[in-house]
Amino acid sequence: MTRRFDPEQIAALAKKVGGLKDGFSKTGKDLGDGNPGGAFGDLSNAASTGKTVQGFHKGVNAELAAAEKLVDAASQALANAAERMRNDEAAGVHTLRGGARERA
Amino acid sequence: MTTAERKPNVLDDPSHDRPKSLDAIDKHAQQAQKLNAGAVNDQAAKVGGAATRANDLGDDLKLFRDDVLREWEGKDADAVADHLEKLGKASYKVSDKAEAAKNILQRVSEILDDVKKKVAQLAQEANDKDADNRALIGAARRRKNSSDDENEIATAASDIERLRQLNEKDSNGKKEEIERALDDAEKQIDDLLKPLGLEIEGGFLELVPADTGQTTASSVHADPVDSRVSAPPSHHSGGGDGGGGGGGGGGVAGVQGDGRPAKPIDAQGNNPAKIAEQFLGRNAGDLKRSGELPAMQSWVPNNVNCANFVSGCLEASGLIDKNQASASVAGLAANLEADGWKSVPLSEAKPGDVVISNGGGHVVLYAGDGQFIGSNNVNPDGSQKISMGGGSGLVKILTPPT
Repeated sequence: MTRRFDPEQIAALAKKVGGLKDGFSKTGKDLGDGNPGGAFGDLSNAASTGKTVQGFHKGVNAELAAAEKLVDAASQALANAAERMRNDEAAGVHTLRGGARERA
Repeated sequence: MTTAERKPNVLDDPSHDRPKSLDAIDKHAQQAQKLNAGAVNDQAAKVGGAATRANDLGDDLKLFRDDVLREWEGKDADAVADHLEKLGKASYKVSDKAEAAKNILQRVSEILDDVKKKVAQLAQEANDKDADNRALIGAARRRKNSSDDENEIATAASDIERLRQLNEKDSNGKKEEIERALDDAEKQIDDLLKPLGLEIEGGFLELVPADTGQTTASSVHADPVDSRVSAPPSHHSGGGDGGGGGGGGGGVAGVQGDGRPAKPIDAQGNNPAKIAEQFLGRNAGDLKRSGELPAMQSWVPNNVNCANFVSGCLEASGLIDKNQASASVAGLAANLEADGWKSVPLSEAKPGDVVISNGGGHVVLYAGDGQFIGSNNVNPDGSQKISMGGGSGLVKILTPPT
């Protein structure tokens, strides 16, 4: 027995998944660039320490930016699937109506 | 004759009572005041916030993955669910790393706070001791200058010299203590921060197909995925061959526009390069969702399908299992090497060997006679088509275990 899928459910899922893009984006914005300013004062390793902290932030921000694109790809895959299902349903309805006319 | 007797003016000048190292102590104290533990703690709070958010987003991804499998089924549903599952795991990895970084930064903040307080305290102690010593020196000086007794004058002068030396020694001791505290703090901070320099293993960047040869997020294309997926089985007439056993999940959508059959190829034992040749001129975007190479994942964007295509050919030839396939160049190479594939020079390459090129950002198959074949960015819009070439910037060639 085959199962029918609800394109609206899939489209809603696409929207939910797409919403995560904003979540990752906001996370990156809130994180910032990690510039510690003069927090390490005149310590001899102040420059390298600041660079390490900023490098870490850069790495996390790159991860979050990649996450944005990847969830977007998943969202689009779901949206396209929903669209395809809608089109197939419409085609199915059209065929049935055509058949009815023939019989008439 | 003592030094003091030779230099009465020096003994009478109170400015010589102050140890030189006290200047260095005061400088250290001023510099330590600039240490801003609060700023590092603020960074820790931000990183902690990112850890919490990434964890929550991982939960959401897990939830949506379950929703996909509940609402939809078939090969493409599995591919999307698998993709979401991987994203969820990557989000947890980022969260774990950020959580660890938060703890590190909090500890660094504590160290800064501690050393700032310690330096201030030691500097205060040094100055207090200096004040005590100078009071004694002052008393000795007064004794020397108010006495007529030569012996007493000589004793007082000697006391001044001895007390000055003592003051210098005390001050040097505090200076060394301060410098040791600063060195220890620096060393502890360096050690603590070491893990922050490491890349996040299992994060999102590893999931990004790396056809462009870049590994930063800027290489991730937000271009249209164009991942039309197979329609629900109930909507298809014909399509999958239920008895074939290769398709799974019912009908597989036909390739839009070219009228080719959407049937998984049966090429077990064939050379992967020969399999790849069957698809010359085909767009990767069509191929990935046609079902002809079952290991290809439909969610992969059309401009970064090189590893997806090579994985599809390797799986079709029986050289790898589906779970060894990867849309990432690095991921595929790692899977092959873990399975015993060895690196060989071009002179020893055989047709079908896997060629990592473009500085590690691209992968194709060796086609023999110095030729390569793969999913290359040759379409005007930057998307990929199966074509000859793609071997420039060669990094390594992997050949299967014999």
